[in-house]
Amino acid sequence: MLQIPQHVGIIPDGNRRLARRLMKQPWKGHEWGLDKIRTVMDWAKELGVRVVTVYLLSLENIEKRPKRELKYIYDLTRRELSDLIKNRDHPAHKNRTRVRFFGRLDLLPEDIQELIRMTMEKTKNYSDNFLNLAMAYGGRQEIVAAAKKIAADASEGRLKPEEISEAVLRANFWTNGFPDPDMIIRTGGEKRMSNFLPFQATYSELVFIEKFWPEFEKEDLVAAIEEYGQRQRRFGK
Amino acid sequence: MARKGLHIGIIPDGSRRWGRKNLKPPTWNGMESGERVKDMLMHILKNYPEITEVTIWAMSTENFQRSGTDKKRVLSLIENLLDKLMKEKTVHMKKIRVSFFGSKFDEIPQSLAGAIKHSVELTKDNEKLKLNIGLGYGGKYEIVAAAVNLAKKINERSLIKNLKGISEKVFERFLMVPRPLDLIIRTGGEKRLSGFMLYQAEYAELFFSDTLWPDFTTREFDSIMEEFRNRERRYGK
Repeated sequence: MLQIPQHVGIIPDGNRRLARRLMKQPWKGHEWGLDKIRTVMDWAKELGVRVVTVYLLSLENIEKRPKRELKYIYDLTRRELSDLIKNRDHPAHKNRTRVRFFGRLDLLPEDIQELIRMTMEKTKNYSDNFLNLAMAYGGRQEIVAAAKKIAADASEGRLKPEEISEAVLRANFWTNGFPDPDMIIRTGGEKRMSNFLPFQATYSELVFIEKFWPEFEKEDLVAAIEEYGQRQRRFGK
Repeated sequence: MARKGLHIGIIPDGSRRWGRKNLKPPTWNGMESGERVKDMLMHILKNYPEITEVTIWAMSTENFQRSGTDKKRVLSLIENLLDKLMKEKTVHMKKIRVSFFGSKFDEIPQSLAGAIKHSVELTKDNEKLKLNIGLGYGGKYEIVAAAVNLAKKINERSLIKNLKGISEKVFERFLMVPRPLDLIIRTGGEKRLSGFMLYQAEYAELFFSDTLWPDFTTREFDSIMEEFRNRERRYGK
């Protein structure tokens, strides 16, 4: 009996390197990357993975990537979300997938923030599948933001320091209410977490794949799920 | 967090399985595991001047929940290791500064508490390599504790009155080991971080080895360092 992870996190790395290898502008790879996300959501549904969380854009990316690349990514986002909002045939509606964004969304362009709001509104009643998208996200920043909020609550008497627990911290995370990922897949060959869900991924099985994200195939997802099933999960005891 | 030389983290997993595989009695004191730690430290001192800090996860908060003999073994292993390190007459020994971090220091046997105090005191002026030994450590625990201490300081108004001024730098002062990790080596075959230095591991290069800790060799360490040097670190760029 194959054990299926309920929640898979994805670091979809390698878009730019693949594009460069195929002699295209690096950020053309992001378009393929987006197509791949859509496809992977279909596979996830087929295989019984109900929750997928994808690391789209980190706070470091926003700080360090060329403006042209960011604009390209934002334009892709605008196109996709507009389609989702207007078109009943969009996979999100067909698959009844609740789409949520999390991160410092306030740092994104205003119109994108609005598209995000509408997307989350349009899909909020779906509960068959869940797609969580990390945008302008950073795990450290999430932790510090939560700690700040808690410190503010404490200083204003809404909370006593001795009442601060893991549950209180998590309730103040941008990912409040999301389950922890059972497994995290990183494509593109790098073996690091890059500030993706550090607290939440404490017990996540990590699977590293050499292929670039747009090259990710269904058999890779199946192989990752099989590996997940085989690994012994001791939870630190 | 300041960066100065390399900071490596080690999750020395696999000792229990090694013990069973090598038919060690239940009373086995983990001597070989301690030997391995000492070997690595001496090897690093001799051959890797660029490594200025080593953080080793000797025992987790969850480990404390393990059975009596297991817990006893780990604790006596640490005591053994400290004993060996303190007796190390070579020049190398004079260069390691030993430090402990974690929790449950009130739950450890007197003899170990004494050995810890002695080693910290004896080495406090050594400067070449800082060794942090995690005892009763858990990453989530560290973060929650930092949030609690931050809230307490705010309460006492001994930090800063303006909450807006709480940056990552301020939060990091409350961490047990305030330096970011450049790489993490986990032996024993498991491919997850289990919350080890979750905040500090943001952009750490990860190395997973199937070798059980007491079998880990300096040669394998060398090949890991070789691979580390070859990896491209982008930090979100």
